[in-house]
Amino acid sequence: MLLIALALSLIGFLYFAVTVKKHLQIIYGKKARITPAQKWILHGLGYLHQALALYPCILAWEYQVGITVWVGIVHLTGFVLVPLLTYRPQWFNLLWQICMPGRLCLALTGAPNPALKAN
Amino acid sequence: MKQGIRNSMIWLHTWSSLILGWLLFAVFLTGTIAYFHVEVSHWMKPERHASAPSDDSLQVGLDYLLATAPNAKNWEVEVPDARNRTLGLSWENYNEERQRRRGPRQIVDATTGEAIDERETRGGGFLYRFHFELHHLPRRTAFTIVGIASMMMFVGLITGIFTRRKLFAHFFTFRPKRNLMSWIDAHVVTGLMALPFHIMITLSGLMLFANTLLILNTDDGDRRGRFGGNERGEQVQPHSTLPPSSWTPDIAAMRAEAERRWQSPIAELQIEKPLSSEATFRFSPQDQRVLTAGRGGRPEIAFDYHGNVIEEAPAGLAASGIQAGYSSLRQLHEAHFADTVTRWLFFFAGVLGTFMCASGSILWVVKRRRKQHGQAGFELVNALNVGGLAGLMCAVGAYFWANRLLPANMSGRLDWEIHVFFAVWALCMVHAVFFRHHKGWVTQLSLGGFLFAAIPVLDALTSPVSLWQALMIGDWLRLGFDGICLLFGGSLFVAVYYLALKDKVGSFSLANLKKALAPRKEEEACY
Repeated sequence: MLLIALALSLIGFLYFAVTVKKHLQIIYGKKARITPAQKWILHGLGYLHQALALYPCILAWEYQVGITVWVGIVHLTGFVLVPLLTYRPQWFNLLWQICMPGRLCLALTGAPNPALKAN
Repeated sequence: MKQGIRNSMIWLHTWSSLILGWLLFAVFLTGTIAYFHVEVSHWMKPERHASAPSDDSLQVGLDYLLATAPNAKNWEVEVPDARNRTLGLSWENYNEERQRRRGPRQIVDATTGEAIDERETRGGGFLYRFHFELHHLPRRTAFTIVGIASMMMFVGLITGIFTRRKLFAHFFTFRPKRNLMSWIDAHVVTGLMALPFHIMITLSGLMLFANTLLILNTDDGDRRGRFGGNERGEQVQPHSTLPPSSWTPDIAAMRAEAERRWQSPIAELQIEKPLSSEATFRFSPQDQRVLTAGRGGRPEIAFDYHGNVIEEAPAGLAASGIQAGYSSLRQLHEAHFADTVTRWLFFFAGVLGTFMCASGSILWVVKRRRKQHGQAGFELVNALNVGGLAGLMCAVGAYFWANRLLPANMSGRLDWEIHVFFAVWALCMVHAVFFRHHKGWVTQLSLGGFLFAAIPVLDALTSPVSLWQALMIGDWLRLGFDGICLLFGGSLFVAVYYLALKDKVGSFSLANLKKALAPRKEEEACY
């Protein structure tokens, strides 16, 4: 349960991170941009995953302690992402591969970097 | 106008946090360790290390009580759990003055059933107490000082949020090797990432101090009758007891029933009127799932002599919304309810908070070092940084060393451990006055790094149980302590490496250390 919650929360943070220009460009190349609408969708997916991470916590710890554990997990995964983005951006790229809904949504609503596709 | 607000927020953030920053760092550092104060105490009492809990531990405890206090009014057994590897036994005799309830009356080895004669030490309790009542100060004064510091912290947190224009962009950003930028990033990331924790811990801390801080309040919180009524002077007739051989309640079955109902191992068994057929057996579980009821958040179940349930109390409920709010905040601050995973999460957030305090004070200096170098205020902050941050870490390390190196049966040992803590801190402060910059940092961080990194060695040499044996009996409390100290010492050495051993091109050589410690020109001396 703990691992599921950690994974969901980490994915949630990946969505938040990818809306920051600098981190978006790690994945989609130098000229990548996203529209405000895409940003909202990605943020929405991020919040959704964070919320989903609460469920396994509550299953394992019941409501009151479960919420506490959930907040703790969110702290942990968020912090893990920082050194990852700084020192191992290629891992971020790999992790982004598992965020299927996000990639799908970007592909459907217009790729962030059309130039990249042509190559 | 918006810019104006932001600037004034930055100003307030800078100065409100700076004034008591070092105290906040001390509170955060010792408070973070205090999440594990029971475990730290376990480490600091090597006499306990041989004890290995097993399924029979409860029986071992009961046998001890049977031999020691057969005529007692009641017995209490705290069985080993995730935080304790020994049995804690208490009993109360008839017509005996009530014991002040400060932990169990006798600590007993969970395997052999022998009483453990521990060294005198405050253990992790000292660090825990220090984080809110300091030391060498009257309680109320200390409460007021720490209370004001918490208030400053709260102001710092709120204003800190407003100093950033884009929250999300700063969320994940860390730009290394850019000195001021890197420090700001580190400060912002540790602050923002654990913001809910910081706000919770500061707010609940303030609330715990509320009795002291509200100056017109006449209830100083000390007079609460926490330990129950005084029964002195009242002569009670002892209950009649059976011979031990014919007193055979099926305690194992009761325990199994209690654990089945809660899906949690038991933590405690209280027996009223032991050795009689009117005895009652009251169990409580380890896991706590309700925070709103404070410490009453654990359920209880009581059996009679024949194993029938006579009373079952579910986890308590708060009397009102206000009480629920108070209890949950208090529980969140003290984390008595936390199991191992939750405790580590709290600890992790605490580490982030500690780092936030430290990086805040450091970046104040880094930001101003070009312009204000040599000015009295700037140098004062520098000295306090070295002594208050690195010095305190050395002092905590020295406290652990003193615990193991002072003779176990020395008189006044308990005080001497604390004297060592303050003496080392004071020495570091004095040292920091003279070596405020680079050299001070390098020396004190190296000392701290050594003190912590060598703790596993110290532990192996001064405990009756070797580390290998500890691994065999699964003493993860002790091994975990050693591991964290090693990690912490290692990270201090990494800091030293960046400060002193690495030259501009990034290559590593010991010659750089010499250079770093050699006297420098005024202009260069800073970092």
